[in-house]
Parts: sequence; C-alpha cells; structure tokens
Amino acid sequence: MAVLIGPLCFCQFVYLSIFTTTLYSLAETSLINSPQKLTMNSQNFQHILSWEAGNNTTVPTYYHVQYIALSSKKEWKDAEECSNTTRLFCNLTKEYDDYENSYIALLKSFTEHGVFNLSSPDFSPYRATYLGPPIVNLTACPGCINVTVKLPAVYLKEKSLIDIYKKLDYSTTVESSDRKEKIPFRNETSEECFSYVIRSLRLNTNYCVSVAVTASLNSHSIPSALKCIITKSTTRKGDGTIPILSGGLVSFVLGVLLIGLYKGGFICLKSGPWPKVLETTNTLHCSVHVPDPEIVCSVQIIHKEIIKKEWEYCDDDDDDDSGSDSENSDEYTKRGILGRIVNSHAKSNTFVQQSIDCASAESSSQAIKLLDSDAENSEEDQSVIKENESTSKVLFHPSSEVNHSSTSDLRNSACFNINLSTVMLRDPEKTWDESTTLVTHQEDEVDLQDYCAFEEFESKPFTNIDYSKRPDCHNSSHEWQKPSVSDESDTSDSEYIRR
Amino acid sequence: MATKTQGRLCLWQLCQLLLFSAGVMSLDCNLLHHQQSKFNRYSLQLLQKTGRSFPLECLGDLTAFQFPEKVLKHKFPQHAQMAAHEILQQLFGIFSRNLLQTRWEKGDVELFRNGLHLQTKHLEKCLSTKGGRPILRLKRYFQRIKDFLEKKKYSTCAWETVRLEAQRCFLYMDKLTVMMKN
Repeated sequence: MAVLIGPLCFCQFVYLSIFTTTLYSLAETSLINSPQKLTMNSQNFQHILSWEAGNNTTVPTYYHVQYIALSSKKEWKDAEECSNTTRLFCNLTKEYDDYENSYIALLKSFTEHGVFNLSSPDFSPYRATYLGPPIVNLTACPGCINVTVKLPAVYLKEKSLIDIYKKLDYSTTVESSDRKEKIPFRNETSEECFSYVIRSLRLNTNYCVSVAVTASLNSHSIPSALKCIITKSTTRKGDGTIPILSGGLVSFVLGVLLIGLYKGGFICLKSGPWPKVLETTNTLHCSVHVPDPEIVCSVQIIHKEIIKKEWEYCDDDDDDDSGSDSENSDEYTKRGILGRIVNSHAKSNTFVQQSIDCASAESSSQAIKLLDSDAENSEEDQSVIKENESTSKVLFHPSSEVNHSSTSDLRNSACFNINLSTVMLRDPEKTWDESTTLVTHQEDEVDLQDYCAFEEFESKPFTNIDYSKRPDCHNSSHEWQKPSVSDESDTSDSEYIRR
Repeated sequence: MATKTQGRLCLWQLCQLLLFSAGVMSLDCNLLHHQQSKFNRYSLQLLQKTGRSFPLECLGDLTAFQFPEKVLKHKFPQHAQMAAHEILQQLFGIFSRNLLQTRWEKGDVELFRNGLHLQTKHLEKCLSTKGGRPILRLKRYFQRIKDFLEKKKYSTCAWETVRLEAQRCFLYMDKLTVMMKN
C-alpha cells in the first residue's frame, strides 16, 4: 500500500512541478515584455506619449503606436514616427493637430511571444495640455514691480495661445524671501505679450515672482520659475527735475501769452472812459441836486418867429384832438385853456427851441421840438410864469393822477426829452408857493436825451423825489403839437403839465 | 449604510444646486459671460465625471456630427448669446431622453440637466432677438445627434458617443462665451 502511494505521490509531484513551471513561464513572458504604463506629456500642444518597458530587457520588443480621433474618424491611424521603434516614447504632436478633438492612442508591443496592446484614455489637447511656462521679465521700481509676460509659443502651425483660447487668465504669485508673504494677483489677457505693475510692496525688499497662465476650460499650467528682484528704495533724481522743468516751462509760456494778449489789446488793465449815456444815468439819481453852471445863453433870441408859428399850430392841433378823443376831452379842454393862457403870454416870453431825438418805437425818426423857457428871463416874464404855474397846478393835478393809474402801458409808447434846467424839486405835500423862487437851473447840464431811459428811472429814483417844473405854458402846449402824444395822454403828460 | 450615504449625497447635490441657481438668478446680463464661463467648466466636469474614458468597444459607433463652425464666426455678442442659448436648450432636450441603458451616475446627470435648464433661462432673459440662420444650422446639427440616438436605440455606446460630442460642444461654448463679452 505504501509502495503504491509512493509512486502516486511522485507522479503528483511531477505534475505539480510541471504545472507551476509552465504557469511561471507564462506569467513571466506576459509581465516582462508588456509595457507597464502609458503617460501623455503634453505641453503647449506638444504631445509626447511615453511608456515603461517591461522588466526583461533581454527580450527584444518593438513598439507600434496608433491613434484615433474620436469626433471625426473611425479608423486607427499609425503614428508616422512611432512604427516599429524601440524607443519608449512617441511624439504625437503632428498627429493630434485638431486641438478640439479627442484622441485615443494605442500602443502595440511586438515580442517573440506575441503582440500586446495597451490603450490610453481619451485625451483632449484643448483641455489637457499644460500651458506655460510663460517668459517673465521683472523691472524694479520704488514699492512696485513691473512684470512683463510673454506667452509661450505653441507647437501648432501658425497658431498662438490667444488664437486657440481667445482669452487667458494669468495668476501671479509674489513672495518675499524673508517674510514668506504671498500675494496672489489674477487677471485676464488677450494679448501675446503684456505687462503690468504690482504695487504696494515694501521698499528695498527681495521679492520673487512667478506667473502661471490658464484658460477657462484648461486649468493645467506650468508656472514660470521664481524670479527675484529687489524693489527700489528711493526715487531717482531725474524724477524730481522733470516736473520742475515742465512746470517752469508752462509758467513761462503762460507769462508770454499774457504779455502778448496785453500788448495786443485783448486785456485792458485800465478802465476806459465811462460811456456818455451811462454817465448820464449814473449821475441822475445821485447828483440831480448838484448845481452846475449852465452854459445855455447864446441861442436865446434867434427863434422867436418860429415859436410864434408853433403856437399857432399848437392851437389847431388842440382843437382837432379834443374833438377826436372823447375820454380825455376834459383834459384837452383844460389844456386848451392853458394853451390860451400861455398863448396870451407867448409874445412876452423868450424861448429856446430845443431839438430832441425821440427814440421810441412808434416815432423813432420823428424829431419833436420842445419848447422850453429860458431860465433867466426878465422879472416880468417870471411873474407871468408864476401865474401860469398856479393855473396849471390847480387844473391838472387830479387828472394826472387818474391817468397815471389807468394808462400805464401807454407810457412806453412815448418818448420825451426834458431839459432838466427847468426842473424844480419840491415836496408834493406842501402847498405850492407862488412866491417860491424859481430854480435857477444852473444845475442842469444834464440833458435827458432819451425819455425811454428816463422812464426806467422814473419809477425808482423819481418816485421819491417829487419834482415840479416851473410852469411853462410853451412846454405844455408842445404836448398838443404832437398828435400821438395828445391821443394817449398819460402820466408823463400830466406830469409835464403839473410841472 | 448605503442609504445614508446616498441621502448625504443627495443633500449635498441639492445644496450645490441651490447655490448654483441662486447665482444664476441674481446675475446681471453684463456679467453673463463670466457666469457662462463658470457654467461651461462646471458642466464639462460633470460630463467627464458621469462616465469614464471612452470605451474602446464603442469605437465602431463613432460618428462625425459636424458641428457648424460658421456659428463661431459671427462677431456680434448677440449672435453668440443666441447660439449659446440654442446649444444649451438642445442639449437639455437630448439629455432628457431615454438614459436607461447608460451606466452613468444618475445624480451627475440630474445636476447637469438642471444646470442646463437654469442657464438656458438666464440666457433667455438677456436675449433680445431669436432665430436666424446660425440657429437653423445648429438645429440641424442637433437633429443629426437625435437621429443617431434613435437609430442606435439609445444604446450605451450611442450615449457614450453623444456624451463625447456634448463635451466637444462645450469647447465651442467656451469660444462663444468669449464672443459674448465683445
């Protein structure tokens, strides 16, 4: 029995040993000669597939690489440089030219024992290639670093990183060597070469800068090697001189310009003579009371005949007007009375004719002749005038008040000139004193050339100053000479009359 | 144990979704391209995560769907927005189809679809006009994909091919997003 068992065991042992040796040899051949690991190293669209050879280097192995583009082609294609090669890498840059596509690489290893296939996972160059490192240049400035970045070139025909991704993000890491502070800095660019300044850094400190570039769908990047630079401590001398020089230059140019303008007459430092019209108005409300010696003397005697004519004409006009205007008929009759009164004394008076331009809109070109009595008449004349004054005052004061309130808009239509040599100032509250001396009227060289101007001032400076004119029948009669004025009898008329 | 982890996962996904939707709803049209860029990255990650590398056995089903690249040559931001909107809408339509045969992570697919829907709504808000030739081209392209799925009866390999194509779509979306800014 024991003898029987002995040879059986031996047989089993032999079988077992044979089995194990075959198994071992099989395992050895498969493990040793097949490539271990496939890795794709892709940087800036340069794709290099590499693998590890089996442990048994004595067995000659030939490699053959195939690839397939997943989105367009169905068939496996051979990589040109990687057929029957013994190298442990394969450059697939040319093969993976469509960067938007996905590829699968297949490595075939040929040995004596057979063919072994190993495939890589699908690879998208657009998303998986490593970007960088960018070329970085640093320039130091006080408290800041100027960083100039140039994007790396791409292993694609006539393409750049910007052509492929349109826009790239770059992140900068600034590290100080002593304090270990890290300042991240992120931005985006669409230019191949760009520069920016990192500010608020400490002065005179060693900083190391590294830049990494990423795309929105590709976060694989290789940052640039740390480059160190010491920030500047003080400002350069040239920095100060340039602003000073430029400031001086600007001020010099300005000075020259100003002098030129002054010489050319564009700038007037000395005020010119006051315009005549303005002078008149200026002195009106201030210096009405200041008497000035009157110079009106020589023209007195010349126009007696003319005056007579005018008086006649005046009477005619008066009649016409009184007939046409119903509202003011009373007034006109009053005026008529006055006119007659005046007329009676006309011959005994000496008159000066003054020609006045009226600049009102209605009668712009019309010259109105205003008669004015001479201030320095004889004693007889004065007495006569005093009588007239009393009559006119008594008669016309109330009517003028009425007109003043009712026909204010008509005031604008008429224009008068008044020789203020005949103006007398008085308090309206006081009763008119017949015996008051006439204003001698040496005061009035001031000639109101334009009644329009007078109108404006009338409300302000003259409302307070009630002025009374020496009653002058010739003056009032002149009012009736002019039809337009007599039609629109208003305050000015009445005032004249009151005077 | 398994149900617990699943519950946690769902909760986490829900939180993510809420955060994402809040971001989408509150954004202004001027910042659309920023948001779109984030969305592209997020969607692409989800698409990659749902499945593994393209299976070699499905190589036979590979089809060239030919994305109309003319769509990317329009210069106006409005056109880019319109194209992006159309792509998202169509992708949502496709990934809402019969997914039974796929071995994808269901949670990931759900998130992907929700993202698509929200982003489509957001783009709609900022769109002034609709239609046009580029949209027609895109419609034809997506019709080819739908026809392919129907023809292959929504098989695993057909879906893998479509997933690959969807990933490619997001590369184009990235370009459109850059155009949106201009």
